[in-house]
Amino acid sequence: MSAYRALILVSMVVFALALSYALTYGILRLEVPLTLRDLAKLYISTTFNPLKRELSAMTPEGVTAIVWDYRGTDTFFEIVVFYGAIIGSVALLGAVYRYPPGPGLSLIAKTVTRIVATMILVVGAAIALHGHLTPGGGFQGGATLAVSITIALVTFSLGALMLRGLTYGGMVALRSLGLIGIVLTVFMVVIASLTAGITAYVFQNQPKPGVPIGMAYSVDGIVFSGTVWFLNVLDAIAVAAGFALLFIVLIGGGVEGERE
Amino acid sequence: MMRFIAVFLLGFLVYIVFTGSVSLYDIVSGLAVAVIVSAICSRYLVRDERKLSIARLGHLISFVIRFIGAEIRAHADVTKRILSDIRKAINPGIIKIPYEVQSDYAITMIANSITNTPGTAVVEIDPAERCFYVHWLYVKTYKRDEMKREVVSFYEDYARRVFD
Repeated sequence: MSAYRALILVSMVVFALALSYALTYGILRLEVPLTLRDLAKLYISTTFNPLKRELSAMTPEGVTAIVWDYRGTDTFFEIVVFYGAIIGSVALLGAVYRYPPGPGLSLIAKTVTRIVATMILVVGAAIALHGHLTPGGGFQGGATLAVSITIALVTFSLGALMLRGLTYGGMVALRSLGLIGIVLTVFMVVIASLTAGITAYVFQNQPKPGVPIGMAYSVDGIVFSGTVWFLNVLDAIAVAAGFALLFIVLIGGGVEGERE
Repeated sequence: MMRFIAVFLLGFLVYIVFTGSVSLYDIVSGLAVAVIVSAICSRYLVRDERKLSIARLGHLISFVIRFIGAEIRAHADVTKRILSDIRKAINPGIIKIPYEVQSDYAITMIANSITNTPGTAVVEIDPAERCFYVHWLYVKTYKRDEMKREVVSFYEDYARRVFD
């Protein structure tokens, strides 16, 4: 072993030791403030608080509570912008035609993708279904589901997946189903309030001061946070189908052939 | 039916491990997700469900344990080569090695095991000629049988027992 190589080895060891020492004993001063701002206190005391039922979103995960309850209307218009972009891409690239199955990637990539894509589907569903409990939610879960569809599209080719049911029309239908479901969920409490003869807010989840009607937040002790659970699941379906549609159009749009 | 159950178990296991919790909600939602995913995917994951057996699973587990040993030896070998005189320590080359297993899973298991151990990497597979092209950091021999014994035989034996 030459002196040069020994020097490289020693410097690598010294660097690793110095970095771990600095991180362990806080020499880099990456400190977190210990006091909370009033806004943070307000959110923490109202995201999930059965004692303040009339002010609480009853959603244990703070970020999802803000996204789908405190500022639900804002999120709704974000979704509208996202689908506007997808509709724009579809309009630009035109309809997708029926393709013959392509060669795709190698046998090894195909075999691994069979297993991995299946596992990613499960993980995406888990992220969406735990949106009200842990970080994540409908959009994140849907984007993860779309990853599974995208790697399958690349590995097996668009034509091969079309033969097995991943079609342009199917994805449009699935995306529309998710969007219609979101709109219905938004008006669920309003519809219920009409039958009770009182008025409620659009996007209302839990009972609010002056509106003593709202969704249940748990069933037999299982917390699902009312509308938040439905919005997460439906958003995941709509986002996954939307992304899938986008990739189908990007891969296969704008080519002459037999119309699907 | 067997293939549905196998993929269902895989899905449920991944769901619970990813969630990291076993409350009633996790179990009920995990069961539902695993049923749906297995209904969609199981026919693409398992072609011949008569092959699903405990004995094959046992071979797979014994392979994983022995593979860890092979992995450590390969890491130690490559580390030694990196730290010694580079002109003498490596003799890189791409070799062609035929395989004799039949199923896609067996071929993939051999190829990924070769790639995962440092020092060797499968760069191309030719299903028509039934052979791998493997990049080898230190080509020890140019004899066909010896190359096969050095690089592939250990994995091929197990791949045949687990998947073929």
